[in-house]
Amino acid sequence: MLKRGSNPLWRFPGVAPTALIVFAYLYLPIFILIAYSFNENRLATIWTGFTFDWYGVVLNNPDIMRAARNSLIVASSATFMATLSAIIAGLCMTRDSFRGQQGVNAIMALPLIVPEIVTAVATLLFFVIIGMKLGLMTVIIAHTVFCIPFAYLPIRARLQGMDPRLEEAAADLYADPWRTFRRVTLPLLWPGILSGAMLAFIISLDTFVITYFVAGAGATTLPVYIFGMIRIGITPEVNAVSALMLLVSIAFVTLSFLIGRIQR
Amino acid sequence: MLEGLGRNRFLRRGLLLGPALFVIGFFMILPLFLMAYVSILERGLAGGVQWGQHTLEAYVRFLFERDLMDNLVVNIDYLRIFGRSFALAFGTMIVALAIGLPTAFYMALQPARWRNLLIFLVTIPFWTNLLVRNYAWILLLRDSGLVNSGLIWLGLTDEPVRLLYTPFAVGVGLTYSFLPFMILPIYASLEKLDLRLVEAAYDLGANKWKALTRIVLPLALPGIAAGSILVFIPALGAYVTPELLGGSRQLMIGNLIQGQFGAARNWPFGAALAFVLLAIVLCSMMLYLLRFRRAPGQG
Amino acid sequence: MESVSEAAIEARRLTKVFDGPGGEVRALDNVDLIIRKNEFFTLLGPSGCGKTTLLRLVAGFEQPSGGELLMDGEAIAERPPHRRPVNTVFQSYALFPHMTVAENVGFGLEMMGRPREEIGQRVERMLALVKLEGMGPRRPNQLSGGQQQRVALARALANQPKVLLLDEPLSALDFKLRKEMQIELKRLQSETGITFVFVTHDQEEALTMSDRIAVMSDGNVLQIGSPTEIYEHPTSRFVADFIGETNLLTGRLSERMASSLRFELDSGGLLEGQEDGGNETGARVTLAVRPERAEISREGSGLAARIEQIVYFGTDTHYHLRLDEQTPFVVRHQNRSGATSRFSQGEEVRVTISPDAIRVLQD
Repeated sequence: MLKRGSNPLWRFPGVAPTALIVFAYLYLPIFILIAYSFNENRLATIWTGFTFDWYGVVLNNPDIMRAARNSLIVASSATFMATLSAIIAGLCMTRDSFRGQQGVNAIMALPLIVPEIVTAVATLLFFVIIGMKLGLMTVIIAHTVFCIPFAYLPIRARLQGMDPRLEEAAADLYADPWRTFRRVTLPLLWPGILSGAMLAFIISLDTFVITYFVAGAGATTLPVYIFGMIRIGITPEVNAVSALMLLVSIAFVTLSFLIGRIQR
Repeated sequence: MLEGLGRNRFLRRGLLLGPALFVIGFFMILPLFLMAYVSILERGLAGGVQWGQHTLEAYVRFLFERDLMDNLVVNIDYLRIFGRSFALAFGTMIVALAIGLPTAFYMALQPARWRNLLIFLVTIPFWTNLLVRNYAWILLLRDSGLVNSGLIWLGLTDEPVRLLYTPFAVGVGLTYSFLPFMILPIYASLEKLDLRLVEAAYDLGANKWKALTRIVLPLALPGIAAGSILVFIPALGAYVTPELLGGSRQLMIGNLIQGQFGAARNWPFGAALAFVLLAIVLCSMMLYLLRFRRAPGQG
Repeated sequence: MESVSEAAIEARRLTKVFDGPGGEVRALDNVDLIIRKNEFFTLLGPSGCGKTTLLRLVAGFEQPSGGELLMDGEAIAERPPHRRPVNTVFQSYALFPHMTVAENVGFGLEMMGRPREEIGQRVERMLALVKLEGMGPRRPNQLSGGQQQRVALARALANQPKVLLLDEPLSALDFKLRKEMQIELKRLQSETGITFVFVTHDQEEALTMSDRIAVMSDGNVLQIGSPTEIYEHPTSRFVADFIGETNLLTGRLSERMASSLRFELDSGGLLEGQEDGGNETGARVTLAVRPERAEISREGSGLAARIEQIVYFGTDTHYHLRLDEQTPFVVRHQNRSGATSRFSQGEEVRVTISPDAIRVLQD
C-alpha cells in the first residue's frame, strides 16, 4: 500500500491552504452561533459576559417546548414508519431479483431528487384537495415520505454488503426461514437499521420547508417555530434554541457514525 | 428467508415493497401529478381553484401581464427571478467546485485514519438544521456582525459594508448549505484513484500541472459531475437561504412559489412554477444520467 | 449399473437453466450421476462447468429446472435446504461473524432442538476433531484462514449429515496449508464415514483425494471413474487435456493385426497400439499420449521430430518437439542421472511410444 500524504510529488500548491479555509468556512458559523448563545447581552451584538441563562429561558418557554414536543412526535412516528418500510423493501430488493428493480430504486430515491419546495407544494395541494385537515398527521405523513430514502439507503447498503452465503449456511444448518432471519440476517443488519433510523430521525427533526407548508395551526414544529422567531429578529433565545438544535443533530450524527464504524 | 412469506413470488414482492412504494406513490408521485393538473386550472376567487375550468393562464402569466385594456403585455419580472435563480445556482456550483475540488483532493491524500475523520467533519454541517446554519450567517454578515467588525478592525473600511440582503449573502449561504454535496462525491472518485497512475505520469515525463490536468482531473470527472448536479439542483430550488439572507429584494424561484400559497393566493400559478422547476430539475438529472451513468442506482 | 440402495445421491436427467442477461444459460444439461454411500466423490471441471450449480441443487439453494434428484432413493428436489440431511462447507466458509466459534459449530444442533448439554459436548468433540481445542469462545475474525476453514468443517460435520458438500473449500488457502488440509480431509472422511461431495477445479487435488471423480464441462458430465481410470483412460479430448498434460495426435486406424493395431498419423509416420476405441478400420481417430509415456532417442525407429525447446523442471525435463515441422509434442523425461541434458535444442530425434500408452479418444 502506498503511503499517502508523505510524498512531495503529491503536494500541489494551494491545495492544503484551500482545504484549511474550507474547513474554517464550514465550522466558523457553527462556533459563532454556539458562542453567541452564551452571551449575556440582550442585544446580542456585543459580548458582555458568559451565561447559561438563555438556555433556561428557552427551556421555560411553553411555546418552544410545545414545538419541540411536536417535533419529537413527528420524528419518532416518521422514523418508525420509514424505517420499517425501508427494512422490508431492502430485504426484497437485495434477496430477490426481478425486472423493474432499477425502477423501484429510482422511486425510492425520488424524494431526494425532487426539490423540497416542489414536494411541499404538491403535498399541500394533495392534502387540501382530498380534504385532509392540516395538522400533526399530515406532517407525519409528509415526513415519512421524505425519510424513506434516508432509512433505505444505509439498510440496502448493509444488506448488499452481507454475504448471501451466510443465509444459505443457516438454511443448510436446518434453520427455517424465520429463524434464519432472526438469528443471522437481523443481527447482521442491525447497524444498518440503527444508522438508517438515526438519519431518518435527524432529517425529520430538521426538515423545514415541507413542514412549513403542511403543518397548519397547532402542529408547529421546532424549525417552523424558529423560522418565525428569526423573522421577528435576532434574539438571544433564537441563538440558544438554534445552538441546542445544532448540538442534538451533531450528537445524533456522531452516534450514527460510531455505530457504523464499530460494526464494520 | 423470503420464501417463508408465501409461495407466490409476486405476492411476496408486493407485500415487502408495498408499504414503501405505496407511501411514496400515494403521497408523493400522485400529488406531483395533481400539482401538474392544478397548474392548468382556473384560479379560485378567494384562493384555491375552480374545478373543471381549464386554462393556461398560469403559464401565460409567467411571461405576460394584462393591462387595463386586457391586452397581453410582456412582463419580465418573473423571468428575472428565474434568471437570478439560475445565476445564483450556477455561481454557487462554480464556487463550490473551485473550493471543493482542492479540499476533496487534500482529503484523499491524507492517511486512512485522518480521511475518515475529515469525511465526518464535512458531513456534520450537512446533517445540522439548514435554517439554523443560515441563521448563523445572519449573525456573521449583519452590519454589526463578525465580518464587518473584522473589516473595520483591519482598517479596510470605516463604515460597515452592506453584506446582508445582497446577492453576495445569498451566494455565501447557498455555497455553505450545499458544499458537502460537492466535496463528498469528488472525494469518493479521488479516493479510488490509484496514486501509482500519477507516478507513472511523472515517470513518463509529465510535470505537476500535466499530471493534474491529464490524470487526476479526468479520473475525478464523474465525481465532479455528480457534485455539480447535487449542488445545482437544491440551490436552484432554495427557499430558506434567499428568505433569510436575501431579504425581499433577492427573491428566488422557491420564494416566488411559496408566495403564491401565502399572500398572493394564486394556487395554479404556484403549481405551474413548481412544475416548471421540477421539469428543469428532472431534465438536468436526465442529462447527467445519460452522460455519466449507464443506469440510475449504479456506480 | 449400481443398485439404488447404495446410492447416496442420484441425479436423473438433472437440468438447471438460469436467465442470464444474454438469454438462457444451461448450467446443467441432462446430468445423470450416482454418488455412492461413504465415498469421496469429486466434481472436477473448469469454472462455469456446472459443478457448483450441481452442488447447490443438492444442498437445496437452487431449484432444478428439470429432471430428478434423489437422496437415499427419495425425491428431494422440492425440499427446502433446512429439511435436507446434507451440510455444506462454503468456499468463503460463511462463518457467522456475530457468533463465537462454539456458537457457529453448535448452530445446526441448536436448530435441530438438541439439548444444551449435548450441544456443548458435541461442539467440544468437533473442535477436537479439527484440532481447534479451546478456540470455542473466539470470534471467527480472530482466526487465521486455515483455522476458519476448520471451523467451517466442524460446523458442517457436527450435525452428522448423510452427505457433506464441499465447495472448493481449499481454494483460499496457501499452497502448504492446502496440502495439509487435503490429507486432513481425507482422514476426516475415512474416520466419519460420511459421503463427501467435493467440488474443485484443481485436477491434482481431485486425483489425490477422491475415490471417484466426475469430470464436467459445459453443464455435462463427460466421464466418471476412479482417479487412475480418469488419468490413464480418458475417453474424450477434453478429459485427456484437462487432467494432466497430454499430446493429441490425429490420424487413421489403418490396419488390424493379430495382436495389435496400426495408426497412420496425419503428421506422417505409423504408431502401433492396442485398443481401437470401438472404431472400424479406416476410421479417423484422435490419439492421446501422456508426455511421461514417450521416449526420445537419437537413432532407431519411431516418429521423426525436432527439439524446439528444452525446459528444466528439477525433477524432470520437458522436451518440446515438433513432429513433421508442425504438430507439437511434449516428452517428459525424469532426471534420474545427472543434471545435464542429453539432448540439445534443434537436434533431430526419434520419438518412441509403447503400444499400451496410446489411448484412442471417443471424440
